[in-house]
Amino acid sequence: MRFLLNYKLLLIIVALFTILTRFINLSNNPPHLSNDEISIAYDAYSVLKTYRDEHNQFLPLSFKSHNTYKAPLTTYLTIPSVALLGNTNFAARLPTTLLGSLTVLVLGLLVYQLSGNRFLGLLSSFILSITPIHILASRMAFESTNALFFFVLGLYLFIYSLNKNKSFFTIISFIAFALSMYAYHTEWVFTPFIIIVLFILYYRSLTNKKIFFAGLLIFILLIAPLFIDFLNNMHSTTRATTDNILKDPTLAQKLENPSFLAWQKISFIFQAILEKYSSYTNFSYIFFSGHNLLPKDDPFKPGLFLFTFLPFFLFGIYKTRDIYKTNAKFIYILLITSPLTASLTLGPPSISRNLISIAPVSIVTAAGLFMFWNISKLIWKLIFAIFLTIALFYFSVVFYYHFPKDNAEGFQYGYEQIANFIKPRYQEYKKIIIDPRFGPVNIYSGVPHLYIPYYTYLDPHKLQNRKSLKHGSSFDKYEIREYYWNEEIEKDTLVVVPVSNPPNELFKVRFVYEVALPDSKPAFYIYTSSKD
Amino acid sequence: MQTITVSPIAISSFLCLIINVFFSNNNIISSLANSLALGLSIYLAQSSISLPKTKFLLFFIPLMGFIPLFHYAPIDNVFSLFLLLILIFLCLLQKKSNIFLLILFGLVIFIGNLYLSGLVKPFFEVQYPLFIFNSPEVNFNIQRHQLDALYIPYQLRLIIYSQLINIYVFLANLFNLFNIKNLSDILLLANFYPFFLGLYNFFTKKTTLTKIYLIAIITTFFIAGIDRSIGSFKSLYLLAPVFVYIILLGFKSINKVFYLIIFIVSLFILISPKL
Repeated sequence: MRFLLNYKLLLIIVALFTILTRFINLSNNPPHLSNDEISIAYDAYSVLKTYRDEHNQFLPLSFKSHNTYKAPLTTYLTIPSVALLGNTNFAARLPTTLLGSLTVLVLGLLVYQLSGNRFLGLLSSFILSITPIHILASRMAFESTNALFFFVLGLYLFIYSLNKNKSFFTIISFIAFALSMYAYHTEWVFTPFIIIVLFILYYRSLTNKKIFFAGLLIFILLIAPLFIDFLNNMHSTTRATTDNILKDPTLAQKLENPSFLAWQKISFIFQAILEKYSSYTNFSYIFFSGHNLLPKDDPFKPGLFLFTFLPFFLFGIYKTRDIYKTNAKFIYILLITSPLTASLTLGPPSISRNLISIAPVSIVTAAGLFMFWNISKLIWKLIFAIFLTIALFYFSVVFYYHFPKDNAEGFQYGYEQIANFIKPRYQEYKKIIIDPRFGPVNIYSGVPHLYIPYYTYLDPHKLQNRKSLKHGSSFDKYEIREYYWNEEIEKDTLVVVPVSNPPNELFKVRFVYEVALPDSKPAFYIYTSSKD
Repeated sequence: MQTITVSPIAISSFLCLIINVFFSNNNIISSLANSLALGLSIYLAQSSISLPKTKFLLFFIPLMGFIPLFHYAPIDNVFSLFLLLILIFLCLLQKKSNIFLLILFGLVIFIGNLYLSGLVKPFFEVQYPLFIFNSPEVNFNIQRHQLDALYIPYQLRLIIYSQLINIYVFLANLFNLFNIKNLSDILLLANFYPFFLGLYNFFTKKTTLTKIYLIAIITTFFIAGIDRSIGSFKSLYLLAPVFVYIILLGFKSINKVFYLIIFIVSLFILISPKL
């Protein structure tokens, strides 16, 4: 009875946390659609209206985006929500938020299947429901969030089919695995690897081996178009060729240096991968400071997981063997190998590339928390509850209060507001020039050519037929290019410039609007050559 | 169950001395201190664990001479002697556990770490800017949030955004030290394998040395956590005997072939230029 009470209470808490943390103020936190989000949202809108993306490609399997060649699933999933809810932030984020929320449920079911303990399953759901990085990833149109959902779903269905001896679910699990590969690039490497691991570890438990191979065949058939597209359009390998660790400037320099021997070059590659792997598995990064919600040196920056869970994660590593028994080996492999794909890539630690790791970390932490809950006295449980409340409180104020204020510029904040300014006045101007630079001394370059058409519902054909300019592009009455105030300005022109590029006093333009960041600092100024 | 003879220990010490002098180009004081410390550490650990005398162990022990932590030379040569002093205390404590000795041992570790980390310079010059609570970035952000957090009254802000955050910074700082890269730099990648197996035994099978080593670990972690200029070698140098003990603890359970393969790989990385 006590267990049932705990179970029901925890179920309600998990559902509440999942919904509240992921859906409250979804449109405005993160404060603006990011660079990648707007690309997904705009391509969804463009495909919805014309069956073609911003680059005029017919129903692509790899969206060129800003030369980042995005995996297709998230964009296609966004089409229905954009069709139903219009070109809004909410519509762009809703599919990911729904799948992110469902991941909490599916992870719990997976842990239940792995351990045979539904309280443990619920604990893992609870951990994921309040995991800072998954909250953020569920609130953005993140490809990796959707990939994580399908990956965890695939695992759950596979283990379920083994436990219940229901072959049909093996087939479905392979479909989920295939979808995970359509959702994000990390899974291109990781999902096939895990399928091999599953085959090796559970080969003896497979009562119907033919079904496994039938599932595998379906999986191969399903991902075939993705790879045919990959081979036919080698440009879509851009990401694999430019983002891989061999392109790291320091490493590349050493590899090109003829004075180093072959074994030394291999050692350099190994060192680079080890360093990357080390940064992804660094406890400080995972539990204390890896979540870049605040500026770099801000001590209030949270980790990917709440710091309270660190001791349970460590205890969980130790106890996984006892709790997950025959499945423990699989969990250890998942835990050790999940950061590997991300470790083969360039640049600083990326949350999206390594999002897959949050599944094994949650599973292991749940084991530690479960054991703690079973063996500890009430006083320790109370101490845990106090620390958890403190960690949650700090994360909440950082995420819901400070982050939208402190980090708005990083999300190219302002273009939605500019679009909202332009939309009712569109007919008043013959030309609209937008300088895409922003940030202190204009160090960043934004993508207003996507934000403005998305929020103003511009006919996608116009962007598909854009013309290239010397330093930008033009479509419809828009010119997206760096603007310098020594140019002649035509009559009835609207000029949007970043705050670091104001006109000099001699220039006869009329100031019409200021777009401010959430912390009230100005971000963009809008001027016109019109007199009224 | 026999314990191992002194010869493999002598070989490992000699190997360590050679590497110190000829490869790491350390001065003779640090080199001697390091090689002696390694020999003593192995001796102490094996006498506590009583490892079976196998051919592989006779081969494995000398390989410990490659542990990079024993090739480290502190800024001041004299600081190398702290390691020897600690080992002398450990030898005494293992023979007879005495509260007075234990306190002295803790003090030596504490003071040794303060000097090694540079938080205190000879003789008693405390370097306040190196402490985490004097971080300008942390203090700036505390003040910034105190002004910025308009969602609560000012008096409450002073509590929520206060110096207490330094506990969090302390933990973040400390755990940042224990990443795979740092551990691989100080222990050699191959030793990860027996190290993690040993860690499991360290917390499950408690011996007299375990408790003493726990004092060393906690003291070292405390100093490492409050140090803004934390570094894997200088912060963990005095824990070298503990690492040797844990590696030897895990030795019993290792797969020998697998260990030798990763040892060869590690050796290549060790002698290869750094990235």
